[in-house]
Amino acid sequence: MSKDTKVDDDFEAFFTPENTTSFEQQALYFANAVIVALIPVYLFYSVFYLEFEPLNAIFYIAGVGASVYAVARSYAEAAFHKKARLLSDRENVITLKSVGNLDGQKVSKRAVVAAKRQQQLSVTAHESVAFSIIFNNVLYLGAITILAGWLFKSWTPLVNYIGSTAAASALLLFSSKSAGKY
Amino acid sequence: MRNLLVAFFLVAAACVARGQAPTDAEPAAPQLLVQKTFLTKEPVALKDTDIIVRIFNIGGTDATDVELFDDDWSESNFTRVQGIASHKWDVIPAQGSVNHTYVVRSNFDGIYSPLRAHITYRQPGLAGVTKVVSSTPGYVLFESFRDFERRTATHWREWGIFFLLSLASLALPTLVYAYYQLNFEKGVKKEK
Repeated sequence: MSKDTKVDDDFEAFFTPENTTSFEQQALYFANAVIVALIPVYLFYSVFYLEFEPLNAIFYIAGVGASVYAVARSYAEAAFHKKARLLSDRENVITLKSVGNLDGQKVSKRAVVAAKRQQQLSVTAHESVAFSIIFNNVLYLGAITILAGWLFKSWTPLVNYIGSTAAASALLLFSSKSAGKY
Repeated sequence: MRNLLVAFFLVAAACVARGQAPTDAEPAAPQLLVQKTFLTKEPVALKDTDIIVRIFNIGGTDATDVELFDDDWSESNFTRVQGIASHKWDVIPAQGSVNHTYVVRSNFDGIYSPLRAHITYRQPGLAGVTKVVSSTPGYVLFESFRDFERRTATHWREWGIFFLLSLASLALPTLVYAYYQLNFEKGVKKEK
């Protein structure tokens, strides 16, 4: 096995994405999901006059809870698939050959390549998270707009809220895996 | 004898003809029909509601000293906005009609049963007044203002705020994504 091949094999681990999210990512996803899940509450309160009565409050809480779960889960799924797609496209960008001549420098080419790939991985992860949030927010809020404002408009406000949030959340969960294609 | 019978039948025929002929010596008395109804098709609480009282004289003579009394619309449930619910006319000609409108505003929402309006008038040759009552539109639903707004208002301001909130939720991730798109290429920082 040549030296270059061995080096490349060692670095393969960087490009094997694992579907795990760090605590910071989970906190970021949860915070964004709560904000996104509360925006339709304003819509239904101000436009459809769905008051905060006891019965309505129960469904509001349940709807927000279900939406937060669906949106946060979709963030994670979409970020994972987007990251996998980006990493597969960027696999051969940084190689030992792409690193310039290091004559006179104390660091080895391997260390330079490792550092660059680590930075590339970090950038790719951040890009994926940002894209995932944009993709899912647009999809969720767009679905809510169409469902609540047009398709379910003639329903009673409470049934409209339940139907809109349930359908939008389901759409998110089913489409998050395809986020990597964009 | 024969001449007597002919004369008898001629006189009898003349009497019958005279009895069937229309007489214009006594024209028909005035007769008022009164309709009370809503001009506003969908009454809404806290919004103006137009009421109209139509009086038709279907009799053969004029009705005089016509007075309309409508003591409906109690102050606890309604506010008089424009006009008054009573009126006087000196005469309503035969085969003629008059209208009277006024505006009220309901302070409650729900079903209401309007009362009949009362009309008095004088007939020629009679000492006292004749009283009639109007028709009634039956049970009327005053829709709540909130339901009316929800059904008809466009809520442009609220939709605008919703879209602004949606854009705000996209602002920060878009900035982050744009930063990486502009300054990095395939995950590697662009050299200036």
